[in-house]
This record gives sequence, C-alpha cells and structure tokens, in this order.
Amino acid sequence: MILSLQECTDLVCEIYKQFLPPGQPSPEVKGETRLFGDNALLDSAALVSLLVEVEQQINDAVGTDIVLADDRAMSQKRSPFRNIGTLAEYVVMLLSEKCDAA
Amino acid sequence: MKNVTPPKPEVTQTPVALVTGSRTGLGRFIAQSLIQRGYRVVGCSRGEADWTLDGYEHILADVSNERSVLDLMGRIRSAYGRLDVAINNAGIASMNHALLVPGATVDRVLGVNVTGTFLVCRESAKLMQRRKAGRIVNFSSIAVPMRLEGEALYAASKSAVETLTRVLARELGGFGITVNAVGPSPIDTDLIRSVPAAKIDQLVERMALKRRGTPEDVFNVVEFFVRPESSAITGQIVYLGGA
Repeated sequence: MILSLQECTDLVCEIYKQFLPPGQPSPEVKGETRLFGDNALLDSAALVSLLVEVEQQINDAVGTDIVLADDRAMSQKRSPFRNIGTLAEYVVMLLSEKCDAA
Repeated sequence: MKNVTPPKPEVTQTPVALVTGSRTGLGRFIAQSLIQRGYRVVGCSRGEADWTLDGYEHILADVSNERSVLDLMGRIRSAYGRLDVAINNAGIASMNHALLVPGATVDRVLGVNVTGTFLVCRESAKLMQRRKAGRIVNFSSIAVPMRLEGEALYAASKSAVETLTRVLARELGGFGITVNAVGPSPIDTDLIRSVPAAKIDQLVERMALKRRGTPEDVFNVVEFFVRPESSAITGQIVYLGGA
C-alpha cells in the first residue's frame, strides 16, 4: 500500500492538530502550514512528537519502517520539515524508494 | 477532508518487554524473570537462542546496525503494537591494556555498547511514547566509577552509556518514559570469561561487598526500575556491590 501525496498531507494535517497548544482558536491547517520558525505554532517538543507520530502512523499503515529524521533530511539546506506539505512530500519520497527497493 | 488515519496494529493487553543480548547469561536470566512477572518478552542477539519459553520470542538482530534495529522494532510494532520495557543488556567487553587494543576492537565495542544502546533507546521510545509510558534500563558497569586498569575502552563506552542515560531521561521525561542504568559488579558470564580469576578476585576485594554479583542482584535493580511505582525514578545509575 502506497499513500498518495494528498493522503499523506491529510494525515499530517490530522496529526498536526493533535499537537496544537490547547485553549487557542483552531487555525486553518493546510500544506503551507509552517512546522517551525516564524509563525509556527508548535514548540520544539511538539514538533518532535509530531514527527515521531507521523513516522509511526505511516509505518503502521504501509508496513514499512521509514525513519523521517535520517541523515539526508537532517543535512538538506532546505529542511523537509519546514511545513506540512514538504513533510508529506518527503514521506512520499521515502515510501517510493522503499517500494522501488522491494 | 478525507479521513486517512491508518488503523493501528492490534495491541496486546499483556505488557511487552524487549531484552537485548538475551541468548545467554544475564540477558537470558532477565528475559526469563520478566516472563515470570507476566511480561511478553522479545529477546534478540546476533545468534540463535538455544532455549525457548512460553511468552518468549527470539529475533536475530545486531543492535549496532540501524537497519537491524529497525527490523526488530518493526516486528514488535506489528506483532504486539506496544512496548513497555526495554532492557539494553547487549554489550561486549575489551579487557586489555590500552596500548594493545586494535582499532577494530574500538569500533566493535563502541558499536555495540554505545551505538547499539542509542539505537534501541531511540526506537523503543518511539513505540513507548504512544502510550505515554515506558521504562528503559541501560547497562553500565562498575568499571566506570572504579576506573579499572585494562578496561579503558570498555569503561569509556559505559561512561557514554551513563551520559546517554542521564540526557535521555530529560529528553524522554515528557513522554512518560524513564531511563535508568544498572552497573553490575563482576558476574560469572561470557563477558568476563577471558579475565583471569585472580584479576576478578582483586577487583572484588576493592568493593564494599566482597563477593561477586549474581543475576538475581541485577534483576532486583531492573525490576525496581521497571515497576509502575517507579515513575519518578529516572536518570539514575545504580552500582552493585558498593563500587
């Protein structure tokens, strides 16, 4: 089972909402929603939790064991974790590579 | 928005423990003791285990290899859906004068003792954080506080494990995961089988308790760390024998 980019984006959006600070108005959550830096709503601990939860849920769904925070992700000039859309794209890329390698 | 939240694997009601290096010796004793306490235990080692027990599953894994650890954790996730306890028992020793330790031995000892402990901690915590609870127990050694000659590399690797334990305790505390370590006194296992008995006896003489340790001594500490009541105990190193 391979998830489409839209499915990955939707999944990350849903997980993202779980980690928003409580007691504040719900923002619109979409692909462009920033995960860190200016205007980001998650603190560093919540971002870690988000990445772990995305990784775990993807692995549950697809039966893989991808690691989001791999050397490639951590060494890229433009982090794949900068917003929901880029994270979803990175997930799809990792899944495609897994699929090709299988 | 389309709901794409995937189904989580079926979760067993029985608490699940991982014990690395469970093929022989201390790891085997800890695995069997945890089963007696009601845990489902997944053990691993680089070689096949020559023992079986109801409630025990053995998986071939090299903890110093990231791919191998990911496979191990994938199996736990798919088969049990949870991980409650991780015991980082796997370790190798190098008992020799520092001037006689080959570079390949350095890589091997650090690979298993440090990299292996780190990888198992990292991947265990990912599984544990879903339940906002977990217990990780790492293995240090009295070689650290006693600064044992002939064990520079081994002691250094265990110092790293201690620092890892203390820092991870802080990083994982927010997930409800505790991280502690036990530093056993000399126990008659494969780890020290190449050390002359006289050397071990000299070492024991320097300790507060003039006797070798037993697997029961170690499990007593492990059991304390993993108890639900020990949720406030984290970042601690307990040495046996009064080192």
